Amino acid sequence: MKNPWAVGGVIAAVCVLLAIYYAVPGVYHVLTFSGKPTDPALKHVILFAVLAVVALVGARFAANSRPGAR
Amino acid sequence: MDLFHVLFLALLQGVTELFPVSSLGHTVIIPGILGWKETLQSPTFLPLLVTLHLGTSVALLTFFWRDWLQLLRGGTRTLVAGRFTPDVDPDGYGRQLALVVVGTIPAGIVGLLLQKPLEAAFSIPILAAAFLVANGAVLLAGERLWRRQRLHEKEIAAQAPMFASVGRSLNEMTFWQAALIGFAQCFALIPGFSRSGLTMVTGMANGLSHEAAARFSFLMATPIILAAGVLEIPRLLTAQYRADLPIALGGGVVAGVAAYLSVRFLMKYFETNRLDPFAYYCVIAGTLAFAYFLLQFLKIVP
Repeated sequence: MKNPWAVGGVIAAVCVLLAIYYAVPGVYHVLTFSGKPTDPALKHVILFAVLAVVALVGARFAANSRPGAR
Repeated sequence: MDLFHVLFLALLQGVTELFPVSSLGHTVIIPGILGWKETLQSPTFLPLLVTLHLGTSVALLTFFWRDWLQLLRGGTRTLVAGRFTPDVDPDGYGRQLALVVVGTIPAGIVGLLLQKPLEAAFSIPILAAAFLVANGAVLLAGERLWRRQRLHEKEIAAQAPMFASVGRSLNEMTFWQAALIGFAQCFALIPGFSRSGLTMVTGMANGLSHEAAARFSFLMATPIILAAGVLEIPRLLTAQYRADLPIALGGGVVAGVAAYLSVRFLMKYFETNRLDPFAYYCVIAGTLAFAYFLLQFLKIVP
């Protein structure tokens, strides 16, 4: 991976956007199957927020494991 | 809810969730044969399902508590340092926790976004029976492939011992392999395919020993099953389900005990034994169930 921070950052940004999308009430949320599709989908918000954190943590590990990183 | 149904389903879930024989497949096929469709479709079935998952995950946490403690300690050390080097992570537990996280991601995403449509599309008893046969075939093929690989490696080892790697441990697994096992786990959303079976076969196809593949499969199962239960707890406490809570909790305890005994048996079993018996069970039980549902469809049996 040439630039782990760039890749991790892009993935994290997409996940944060998706988390915000599922958190906003009144918007039609795709792929939600419990409750009204316009209600905030808490499980989806948690999933994408966690994925954003995992992407950044993964980027940090990948950056540190590159030759000459330490 | 009928107490007998609850106890039966709790035992069924506790045992089949961890044995590589598809718990979802069994909860579609067996009520289909016994005519319990109403029980599964009743609105009060949700509390039971949640407590069964919680019971199973508590059993897994109890059995693997030392592993989880070491994984979390190693994980904390590596997280602070930001690397998996031997000075920070000498036993590899931090890296193993990262492998579990990577393996959990695909099923976490697919499970949350597609579980309900997939279950709705495939929760047909005759389809579940057909997929149970397919699950048996996958287990058999995986076991055969593993044996062949090991034989080949033994031949190489006899000529050049430095290349021997019969039955690798988790520390030798790559992150890509963990992700691949995670993707295999997604197929278990289809009733009939076993989560533990598919993840074990994929792990073994990547060179893991039976024991290491089973351990990784059960470690990977814990956060998924726990999250599936915990995220439903707020719904469980609403007035609609409160009346059914005690009986559902009883079911959860039964499922937990059954799951604990199952994982204890399986971890001992996979030290020396193979997947074949489970594969034969899936093929035979799936074929018989398929024949029964076919005869039922043709109105030859009631």
